[in-house]
Amino acid sequence: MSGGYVGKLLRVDLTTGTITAEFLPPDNILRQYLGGVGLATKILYDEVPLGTKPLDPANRLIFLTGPLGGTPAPTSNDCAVCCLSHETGYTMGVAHFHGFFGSTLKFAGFDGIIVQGTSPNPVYLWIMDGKAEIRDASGLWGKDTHETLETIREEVGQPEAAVACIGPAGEALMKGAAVCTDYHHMAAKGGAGAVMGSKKLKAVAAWGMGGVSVADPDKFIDIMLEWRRKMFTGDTNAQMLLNGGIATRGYETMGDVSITSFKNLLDPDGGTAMAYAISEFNKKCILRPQGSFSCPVACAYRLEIAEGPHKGFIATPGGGGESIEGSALVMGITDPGTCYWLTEKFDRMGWDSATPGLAISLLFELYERGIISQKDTDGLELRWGNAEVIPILIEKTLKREGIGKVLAEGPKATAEYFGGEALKAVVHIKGTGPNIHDWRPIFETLFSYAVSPAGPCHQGIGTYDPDLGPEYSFPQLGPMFTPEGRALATRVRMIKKLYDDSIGVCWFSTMGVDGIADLTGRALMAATGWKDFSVEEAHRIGERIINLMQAFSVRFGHTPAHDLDIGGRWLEPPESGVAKGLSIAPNLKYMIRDYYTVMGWDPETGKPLTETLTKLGLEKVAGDIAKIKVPVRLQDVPFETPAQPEQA
Amino acid sequence: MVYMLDIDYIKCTGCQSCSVACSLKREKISNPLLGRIQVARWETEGLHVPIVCRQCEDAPCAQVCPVNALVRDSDSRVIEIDNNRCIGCRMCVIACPFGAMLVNPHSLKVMKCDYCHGDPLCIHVCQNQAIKYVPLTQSLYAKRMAGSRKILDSIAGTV
Repeated sequence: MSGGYVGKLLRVDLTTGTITAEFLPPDNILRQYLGGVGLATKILYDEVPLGTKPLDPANRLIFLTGPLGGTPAPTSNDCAVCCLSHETGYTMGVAHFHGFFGSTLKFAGFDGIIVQGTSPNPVYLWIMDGKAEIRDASGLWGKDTHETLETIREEVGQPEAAVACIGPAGEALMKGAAVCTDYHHMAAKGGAGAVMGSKKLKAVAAWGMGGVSVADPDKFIDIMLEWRRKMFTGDTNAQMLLNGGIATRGYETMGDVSITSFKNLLDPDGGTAMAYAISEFNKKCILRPQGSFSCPVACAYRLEIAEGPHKGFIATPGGGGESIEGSALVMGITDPGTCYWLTEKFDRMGWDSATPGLAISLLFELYERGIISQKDTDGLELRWGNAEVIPILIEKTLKREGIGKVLAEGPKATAEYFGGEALKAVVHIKGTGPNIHDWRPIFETLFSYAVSPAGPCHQGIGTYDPDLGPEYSFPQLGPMFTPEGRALATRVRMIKKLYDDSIGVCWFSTMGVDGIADLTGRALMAATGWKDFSVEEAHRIGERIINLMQAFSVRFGHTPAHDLDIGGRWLEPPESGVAKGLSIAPNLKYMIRDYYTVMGWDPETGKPLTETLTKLGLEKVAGDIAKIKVPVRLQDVPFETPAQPEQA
Repeated sequence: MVYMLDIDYIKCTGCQSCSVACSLKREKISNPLLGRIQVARWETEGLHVPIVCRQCEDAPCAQVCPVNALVRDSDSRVIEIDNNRCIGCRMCVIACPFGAMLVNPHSLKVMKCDYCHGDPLCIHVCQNQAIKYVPLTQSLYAKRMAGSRKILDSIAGTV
């Protein structure tokens, strides 16, 4: 291979303590899966033995960059972090983080890392210039993500080392535990933090002086300049997120479409008011956008709180982790500074606040409605907006103490513990905290999270790309809140997202960009030296990955019942906001069947059909899953549609 | 005409697009360490400083060079390295007050920014235009106008 890839994978077996450098798979495999999420899917499918549980030593934790990683392509810093999901237990867990880890890993000599086995005691991995060693991390265990980063840099004597680590949440095998890098970034979905914790792997640190070869540098430079221009032309996501991401323009946009989660999603109008209030608040604070490697967007930010009880506090939110909605707004907190203060608490624990936040907010709601009392809350007064109890609940949960024992298992388990009304009030998808905005007004996004074989988040499969246009044969959609065309739109968007997630860049550099598949295809050719990479091939790669992911899920026990495993609150029509009185529920089963059909899967079981897999060169996979009988049919899954008002 | 790389330090987000683009253009490999412009990242402060040769008129690097390998172009005032003369002693690295004299850690050759002979790539990848390549006089004009605006604002309404 002449460029793009550095050519090596690092395999680390923590049970035996052995480290081996392997060559990347041959070109014909790379052409089918590229890198990032695609190649990680292939490796997980091939290597995780059937019957493995997420926290078993046999689970793999994979860090994978893509062929554009470390080049001057915009946002060439993507690192996919994948495993058998600890959040669901039967899907892949797919997360990404940005910052500097992915690119630095390539400069250190590796395209990716496969971690297997379990260490008897806490360790971290130090990779430098093509070499790696396992080091003792007993002194790091218990440290938060920022302290871990700083301590490791000092220990290895390399102040610019990139560090991916877990915090106390990962150590304690919490649901929602993430893998964090730099000060701002989180691989926040799929339970990678807990899987890393189960392996007793506190961190991976990397640094190196190597480079990434590019087959045709001059051509590559022209393409990346064109890409950077187009990223900021027209209605692109990069435009919206420029310089401080959601904190600068994002909250206003969210307010406009009323998708801000507030009070366990009970109060969309309250959420909208908070979105505008936070937007105004941020203008008073000192906000410094933080660029990830080669990223012109800089969606992460450092924020110095301007006023209120936390005046002067510095928060470091960024891409990946759920920001203030999961950590504060769902509990009805209204002081913006306190929202950031709480977000930082979750972040430093290495905890994607969506999962613990939605378990805690459910508890708040049940308490407010008088369904539970102080007897159930260890004496805590869980009134909307009571921020003081949240750090106490965080600590109890991390220690699995009292009510924390229940919260540790996430929102669905918490609802099941209380039963009854709690099941109707809970916000979860497939048991876990999704990318937490109130998606009811954008119900195709909610739908796509429900059916995603990678976990309920755009980090798994993104589906709020705008109209993808003719390059993707994007379907004509009916009016909002009609199911027609949504399944096909989901298919097209998933195919695009998974291809984008496999080339080594952040999705924010592709979303809404005109002619992006052609552009990234040309960038791939200029980087790797491939001569004939077409837009059709890009589409086929995305389709291959989603099919392999679904096959993976089917082998690990996925049934259509899982795609209807969605917390009651999502199905309730919102009481206010643009989706007032409207719900996805009456259409959900229909849409799932429609989706299975357009995917070329069995419409009743969601199992990919042999002809679909064969067309994608996945004959062996077809053989593997032919033996599996999915025990549940979609039509038989009990699914009660909550009462809908007349206009729905 | 004399140009300068004008830097607005507040606008830099620390992304290193400039370094990595420079390395690919000039060294034909993608490696931010080989960029002739470097970014000093102060992560906890959230501020980042692009470091690049200022083409000093009274250049410490040229003064300490024992073999006169740092040569100034009389028109552009840009200092370039004459690699036929350079002996790799790195005295210039020690002397540069900015840390803008660099060493390729593989070839051990000294590197510095030469404004890409009038067409620097770094400015085109800097989304916030923290780095600009402008005629010296234009840069001075912009500074003068920005400074005077503050003065005007402070006296507005008083006269």
